[in-house]
Amino acid sequence: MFQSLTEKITGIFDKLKSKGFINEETLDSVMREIRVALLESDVSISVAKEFIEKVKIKARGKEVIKSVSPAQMVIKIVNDELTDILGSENSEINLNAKTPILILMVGLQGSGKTTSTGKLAKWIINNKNKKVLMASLDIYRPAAQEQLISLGKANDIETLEAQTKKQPLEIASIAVDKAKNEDFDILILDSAGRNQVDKEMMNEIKNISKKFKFNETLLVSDAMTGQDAVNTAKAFSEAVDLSGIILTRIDGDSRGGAALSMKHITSKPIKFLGSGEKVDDFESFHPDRIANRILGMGDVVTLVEKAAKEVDEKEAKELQEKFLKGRFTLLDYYKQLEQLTKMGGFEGILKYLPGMSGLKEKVEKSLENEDIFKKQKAIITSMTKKEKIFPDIIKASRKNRICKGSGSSIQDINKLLKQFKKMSQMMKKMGKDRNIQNMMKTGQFNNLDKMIDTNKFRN
Amino acid sequence: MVFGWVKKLKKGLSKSSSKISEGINTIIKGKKIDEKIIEEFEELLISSDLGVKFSSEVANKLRSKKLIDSSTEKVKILISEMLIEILKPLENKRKTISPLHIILVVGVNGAGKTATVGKIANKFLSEKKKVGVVAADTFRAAAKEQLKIWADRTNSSFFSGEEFSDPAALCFESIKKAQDMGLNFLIVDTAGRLHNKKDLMDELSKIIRVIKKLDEKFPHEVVLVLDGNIGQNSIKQAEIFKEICSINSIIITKLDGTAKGGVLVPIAQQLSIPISYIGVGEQKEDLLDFNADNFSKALLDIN
Ligand SMILES: Nc1nc2c(ncn2[C@@H]2O[C@H](COP(=O)(O)OP(=O)(O)OP(=O)(O)O)[C@@H](O)[C@H]2O)c(=O)[nH]1
Ligand SMILES: Nc1nc2c(ncn2[C@@H]2O[C@H](COP(=O)(O)OP(=O)(O)OP(=O)(O)O)[C@@H](O)[C@H]2O)c(=O)[nH]1
Ligand SMILES: [Mg+2]
Ligand SMILES: [Mg+2]
Repeated sequence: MFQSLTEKITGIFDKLKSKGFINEETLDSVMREIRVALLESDVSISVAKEFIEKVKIKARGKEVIKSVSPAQMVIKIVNDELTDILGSENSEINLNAKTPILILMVGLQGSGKTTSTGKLAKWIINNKNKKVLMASLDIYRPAAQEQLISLGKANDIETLEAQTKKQPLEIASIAVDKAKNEDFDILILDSAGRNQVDKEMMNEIKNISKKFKFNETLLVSDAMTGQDAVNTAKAFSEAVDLSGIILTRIDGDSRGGAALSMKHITSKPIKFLGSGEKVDDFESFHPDRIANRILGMGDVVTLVEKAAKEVDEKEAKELQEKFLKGRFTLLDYYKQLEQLTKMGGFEGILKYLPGMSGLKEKVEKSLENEDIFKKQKAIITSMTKKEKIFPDIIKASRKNRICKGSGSSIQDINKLLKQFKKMSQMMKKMGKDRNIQNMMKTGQFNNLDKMIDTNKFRN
Repeated sequence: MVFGWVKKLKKGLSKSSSKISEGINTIIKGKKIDEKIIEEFEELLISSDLGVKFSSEVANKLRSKKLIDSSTEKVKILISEMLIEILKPLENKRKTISPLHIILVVGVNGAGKTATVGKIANKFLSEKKKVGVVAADTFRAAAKEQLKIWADRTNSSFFSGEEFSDPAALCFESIKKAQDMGLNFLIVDTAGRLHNKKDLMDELSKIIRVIKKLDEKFPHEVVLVLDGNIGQNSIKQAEIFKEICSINSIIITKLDGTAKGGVLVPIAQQLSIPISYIGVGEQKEDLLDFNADNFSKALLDIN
C-alpha cells in the first residue's frame, strides 16, 4: 500500500521505457502520477501542485527526456527539490539573547507538546549547559500539569509546581517571575492542546503570546498528520508568531508529507524531531532525512550514525567497511546481536535501509523476539573461531556438537545459518550500490555528538 | 438528535467549510465536465484523505454519468450515495452484552484513548450501568492520574497499579475484582503504542493472552482509537492493530476540529472494520454514535 515514491517513479518510467520513447506528453502523465503519490504521502494539494511545477521546469531544463536514465534523473530532481523546500540546512534555536529566554510550545490536542517540552529542556541542559525551568499552562486536560511535573522529576528538570484556580496567563506570569528571580537561563512554557475552530482557546494563546516576548514559539506537530496540516499551520501562524516546528512521532512509519505542507505554509524551519516516547528521543532536524523518507529511500546516514553511537567509532568504521565489502562474519554478527537490542532490534536497522521492506517482514518473522537473539548468541558461542568465520564448513557432525553445546535444535542452527547467509548476500548487494556507498561515505559519520538514539526498547 | 449530530460536526467543518463542497463549487459548478476537470476533482478527493480507490470510483462515475448540467447538488448526492453505500454496513450496534463486558481500548500515542475511555464510561453511566476503568498505561507520565480524574467524573470504579508495572497482570487482577464487584462494564485504557514497534505490539498481545486465561471470550471488544487529524497512516494503523488484536470497532476522535475523517472511507473499503463512535470534543458528552448518513452529510456540507 505504501509503495515508495522512488519505486513508483521507477515503475512509471519502466513502463514508459518499454514504449521506447518519452515525450512531453508522457512526462506530463508521469508528473501527474508523482502528484498523486505525493497526495498519498499526505502532502497537501496546493503544495503538491506548486512542487510539481518546479520539478517540471527543472526536469525540462535537465532534459530528462533524452537522458539515459530518466527515472533516476527525476528522482534526483524530486529529492533535491524536497530537501530544498524542507530547508537547506538545519536551524537550531537561538539561545544567545537576554535571559531568561522564553520558549512557548503550541499545537493541536495530543500532538506531543508536553513530552516535547521535557525533551527540549533536557536537550538544552545536555547540549547547551543552561539552567532550564518548565511550566505547564494547561488547566484543561486532566492531570496535564502533573504530567509535566512528573517528567521534570524523572529527569531532574526544574518544573513549576501545580497551579490551581489560576488562568493560563497568570500562570505564565508566575513562571516568568520565577525564572527572573531565580536566574534561570531558559523558561519553556507548555500550553494546552487546542484546535483552530475553538475561538476562545485561540484567543487565549494569542493573548499569552502577545503579553510576553517569546524568543521562540514552536508549533508541535505529528509527523503522521494528514491533509489538514495546512489548516492547522495556517491557523497557528496567524494566531501566534511562530519561529519553528517540532515534528513528533517520526519513529512511526508515516511518509511525513505533512512536514512539507507545514514548512511551506508557515515558511518556518522544522527545528527538531521527536523520535520516541523517551525524553532522549529527540534530535535536531536534517532536511535530507525527511526528504528521503517521503521518497522512500531509507536513511542510511541515520543508521550509520546510530551504529556509530552504539558501537563506538572505530568499530563502526569497520562495520561500515564490512557492510560494503560483504566481509561480514558470524563473529561480527555476534557483536551485532549484542548491540542489536540497543539499536531497536533488526527491524530498527532495516527501517533505515532502502528497499528493504520486503525482506524486513521475513526477517521480523524469523526474529520473533529477544529470545531468538539469545538463542543465536548461544549457538554462535558454541562454534569454533573457524566456524564463525567460514560458516560453510558447518556440516552434520559439527552441527551436532554445536547443538549439544548450545542446547538448541538442528533447526535452530539451520535457521541461523540460512538467515546469516541471506544477510551477507544482502549486504554484498548493498555494497555494490554506488548510491549507498556514497551515502555511507558522505554521512556525518564522525559527528558523534549529533548521534541519535531512536526506537530503543521502552522498558 | 440527528440534527445535533450534524450540527456538532459542522460546527468544526463549517469554519473552513468542507473542502469537497468547496471543490464542487470551484472546480465543477457550471462547467462542462471534461477529463481535465474530472482529474482535478479526483485529486481534490484524494487530498480529503478519501483514498485513491474511492476517488477514482467517483471520477469514473462522473465520466459515465455524463452530467450535462453539473449542478452542485447532483454531484453531492452522487458522492453521498457512494459514501453511504460503503459506510452504512459499518455502523456498529453492540449486540450481546455479557455479565461483565470487557472493552480494551488501543491505539497510537496521543490518539485520544484515555479521554475516549472516560466518554464511553459516561455513556454506560447514563444507561445506569456499573462501570469500572483500568489504568493499564503504566508507562506514560501521569497517565494514571489522568484516568483517575475521568473515573471520578463518571463515577466509575478505578483500577490501577504501580508505575512501570506489568499491564497484563494489572488487567488480570482488575477483571477478577470487577467480577467480584458485579460490575457491568470494564474499560481498559492501554498505553499509546506505534503499530510499527514490535515490542510494544507484543506487550499488547500479551495483555490479551493473559486476560484470556480467565475466559476465552475476554476481552469482548477491542476498540481502536484513531486521531481524525492523522492522514493515510491511519490505514496502516488499522491494518496492523487488526492483525495483532483483531479489533472489533474503530472510534475516530477530534472531528470537532477542521479534519473530517475522510480516511474512514479507504479503511472501510480495505478492511471493513465497524465504526462505533466519533469523538467531537474534550468533554465527557463529546462522543457520538457513528451514523453513515450524517457523516457523509458533514463531509459534503449537505444540510
Ligand atoms: N512514539 C512517539 N510518541 C511520542 C512522541 N512525542 C510524544 N509522544 C507520545 O504522544 C503522546 C501524547 O504526548 P503529549 O506530550 O501528552 O501530547 P500533548 O500535545 O501535550 O497533548 P495535550 O496536552 O493533550 O494536547 C504520549 O503518549 C507521548 O508519550 C514521539 O516523538 N514518538
Ligand atoms: N478536540 C478534541 N480533543 C480530543 C478528543 N479526544 C481526545 N482529545 C484530546 O486529545 C488529547 C490526547 O488525548 P488522550 O486521551 O490523552 O490520548 P491518549 O491516546 O490516551 O494518549 P496517550 O495515552 O498518551 O497515548 C487530550 O488533550 C484530549 O483532551 C476529541 O474528540 N476532540
Ligand atoms: Mg500536554
Ligand atoms: Mg492515554
